[in-house]
Amino acid sequence: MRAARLSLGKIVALWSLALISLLYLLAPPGWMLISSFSPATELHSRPPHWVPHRPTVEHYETLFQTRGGDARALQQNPQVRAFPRSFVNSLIIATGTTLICVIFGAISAYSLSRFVKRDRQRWILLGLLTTRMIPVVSVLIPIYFALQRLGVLNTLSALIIVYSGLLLPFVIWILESYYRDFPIDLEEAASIDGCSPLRTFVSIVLPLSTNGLFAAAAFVFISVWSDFIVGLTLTSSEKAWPISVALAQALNPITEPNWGLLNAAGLVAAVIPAILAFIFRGAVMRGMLSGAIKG
Amino acid sequence: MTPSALRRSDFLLRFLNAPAILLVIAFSIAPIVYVFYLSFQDLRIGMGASGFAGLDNYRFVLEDASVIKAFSNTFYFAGLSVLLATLIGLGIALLLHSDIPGAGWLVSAVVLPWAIPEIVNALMWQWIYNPTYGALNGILYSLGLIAEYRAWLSSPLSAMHAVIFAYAWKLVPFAVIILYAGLTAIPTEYYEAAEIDGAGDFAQFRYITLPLLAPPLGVVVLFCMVWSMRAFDIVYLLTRGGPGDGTMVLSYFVFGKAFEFGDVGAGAAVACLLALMTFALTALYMRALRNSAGTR
Repeated sequence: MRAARLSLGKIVALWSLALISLLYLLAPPGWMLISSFSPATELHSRPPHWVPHRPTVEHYETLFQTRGGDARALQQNPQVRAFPRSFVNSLIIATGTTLICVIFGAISAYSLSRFVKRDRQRWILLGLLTTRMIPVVSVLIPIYFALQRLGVLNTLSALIIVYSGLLLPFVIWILESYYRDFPIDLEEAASIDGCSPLRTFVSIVLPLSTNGLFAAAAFVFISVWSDFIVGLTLTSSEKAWPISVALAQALNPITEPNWGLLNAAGLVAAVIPAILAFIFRGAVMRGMLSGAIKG
Repeated sequence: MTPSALRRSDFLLRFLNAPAILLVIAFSIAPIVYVFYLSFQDLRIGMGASGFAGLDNYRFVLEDASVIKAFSNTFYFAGLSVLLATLIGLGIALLLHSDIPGAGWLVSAVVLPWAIPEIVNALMWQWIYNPTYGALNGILYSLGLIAEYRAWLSSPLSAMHAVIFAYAWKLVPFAVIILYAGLTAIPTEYYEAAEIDGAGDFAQFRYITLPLLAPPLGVVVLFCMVWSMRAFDIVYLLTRGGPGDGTMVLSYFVFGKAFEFGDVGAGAAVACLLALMTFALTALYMRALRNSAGTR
């Protein structure tokens, strides 16, 4: 309706602004994508070749140590050797944390929305939100010492437990608001038919709340996959490095790093959260609007 | 129809709440209490020193020039990142709202920076800012704006602004989505009435859009502020707080103090101050929210 009032001149002006915005948003990751397919010589020319003359997949082959990979490049960047392993580590950590957070988060969010008195509920929710706002670095010092004393630093299972503890407040917070809007009639009917609360939850509420659960799962998975500081503090060797730490370590060498290789690694690390964010973009946007997903 | 039957949980369901409660207490609540306790201890790894230190850590922290610098860096970093992200976010949100044909493309592109992990974002900008092969140098050189390639991260002032620009890029999606939702919530009748009264585009923006957009702008500023005050990854990868202490921010200071220098007490004190500032910001926001809800 408003478009009808736009003059041609205005449309052209707005379009050029839209183009600039598009460039601002897409050019940096676009350059990463192009660089990951460019041979080193083309990246090292001045100015670099914006479109590679001879595109190559050798960086990806080197990264995953498959045939066609450059053995010398791997020797010069030994940290990259940890990359495939850290990719699997991150998959394990993120999946484990997601399962724990969604299963126990759903149970607690449901209990909170149904069985806790109104005023007490409000305090618990406020408390959950507050813990979420506190910077992670502030709580990492005690967590580090606790894990050290237990002798579980540098293990995947410890990381899963820590991430679960850090993310559960937000999962409960977001799922509680989901269950609050959930129609209670069905549960009342089930209860009259003699279903216990647990039975009602498992066989009626859970199957009907898959939307909310998937959105929460995507949020947890992306958060864990993208975290850096927790992984950096609680791991000490490539045995337990998540992908973010492996990436940072690969950038460490004193010599100029192999940028084609690093861009390929960065892109691989970004693909999973990008796909999840695309699939669940509706939920992501609703989550942001509901108040607090990390930007 | 007895809702009272639904007011009671059973033993098994109650029991299944235990894991979540224990995890939240162990990793979200207890550490806050314990870090507060540590901030009053003299605890240095490898020095064997330990014991009650009273306010010594806080006294040290508030008198130490490097901590003061980290505080001012953090405020500068957070303030400018938030300003930049909010302005760019507002611009893009207004574009989306102007209903130009093809705006749908922009919506899909907007979520992208949000989805990219912060460490990958840091890597990406490290490559763009690279002194010998970087794209920024390449573009400016081709355009004739610089005579020779520059090391953007090697002087404190340009390093700070380079880090801010890179960090703000990742905050933009959040600003766009919140502000765009705010814009669509403004009734079109207001604009139609203003049009009849002869108000121009700018007057409409100034007297209708901006005042009605105040609450979502508040949300954007608060959350972006809270996040940028704890920014760590981007500083770690781009500058490690340097050159000198040019980009040393509080979260990186805490990390370095506690885990690299082993001065746990002082690190814990700064960590507490950082948490306190975040907490104060949130409380202020909650209060503003309650007030605006009360007047409605």
